[in-house]
Amino acid sequence: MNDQDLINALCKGDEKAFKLLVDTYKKSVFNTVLAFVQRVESAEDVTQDVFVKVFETIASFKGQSKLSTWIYRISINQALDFIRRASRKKRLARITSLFGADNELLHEQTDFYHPGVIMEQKENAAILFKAINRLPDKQKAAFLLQRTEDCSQQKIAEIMQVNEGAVESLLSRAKANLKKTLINYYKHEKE
Amino acid sequence: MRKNNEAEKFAEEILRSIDTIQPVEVDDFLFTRVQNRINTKLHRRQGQMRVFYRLSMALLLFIVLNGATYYFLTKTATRAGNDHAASGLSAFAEEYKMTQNSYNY
Repeated sequence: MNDQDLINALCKGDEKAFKLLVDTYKKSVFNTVLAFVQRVESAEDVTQDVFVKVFETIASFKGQSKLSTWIYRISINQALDFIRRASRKKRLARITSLFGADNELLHEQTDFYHPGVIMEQKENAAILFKAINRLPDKQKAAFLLQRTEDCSQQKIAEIMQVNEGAVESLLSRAKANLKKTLINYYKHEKE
Repeated sequence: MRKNNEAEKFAEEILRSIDTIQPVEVDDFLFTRVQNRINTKLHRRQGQMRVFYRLSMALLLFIVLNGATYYFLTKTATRAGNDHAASGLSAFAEEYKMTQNSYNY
């Protein structure tokens, strides 16, 4: 079944077509989201949201880009929304903990846990993802799509709806910013 | 200088760690969970629509009742006002003996 047939079937509410879509894209959606949220439970939650959104908005898909590109775009937006919501909750928790009886911080995210990271690199990856989390959204998206999903600059440009030159610039700025953060971290740790 | 080189090396090493990340397998029950979520959302939306419909109906009934009450009250008040004015005039006419034609020229 090609993309257009799949879209037509989905618009008619075909359950089998929807199952096929979920099975085809679940791995890439989950891994993309996981790179952003860095927690399995949260990634599962956001992945479900992505497919619900796909189901609800498939009729508005105009076919101007590939279906996979559109799904990637939804995944990134949902992941970034989730991160924004989580940081809002965290800020609120900081305020409520000031007035609460106990000083424990509610809703605080636990330690970094990405099951795709090999044991020897766990510590390094945790440092790297902490630095990635400080990047602006667009730089973060471009960097993660390239490094975790092996997307080409052209594909990233399609997903982010910018031109290839902009992607190149985003990637080089992301790398420079990460390097700067990591060098500062190293100096700070050594002092 | 040496410290800078070490820091650069450290940054490069940390940056390389992302290339070792393996793709993670997804839970087999994802589709069922997505379906459940869609159904729950649908039920919730239907519930909200039902509440919205009932509230709209209540509001409509309230407006109709208000309109009807206003209409009947104004109608009765006008009629009562006219009757009252008419009885006042007849009392005045009786007082000054204007009820019968008693002119005698």
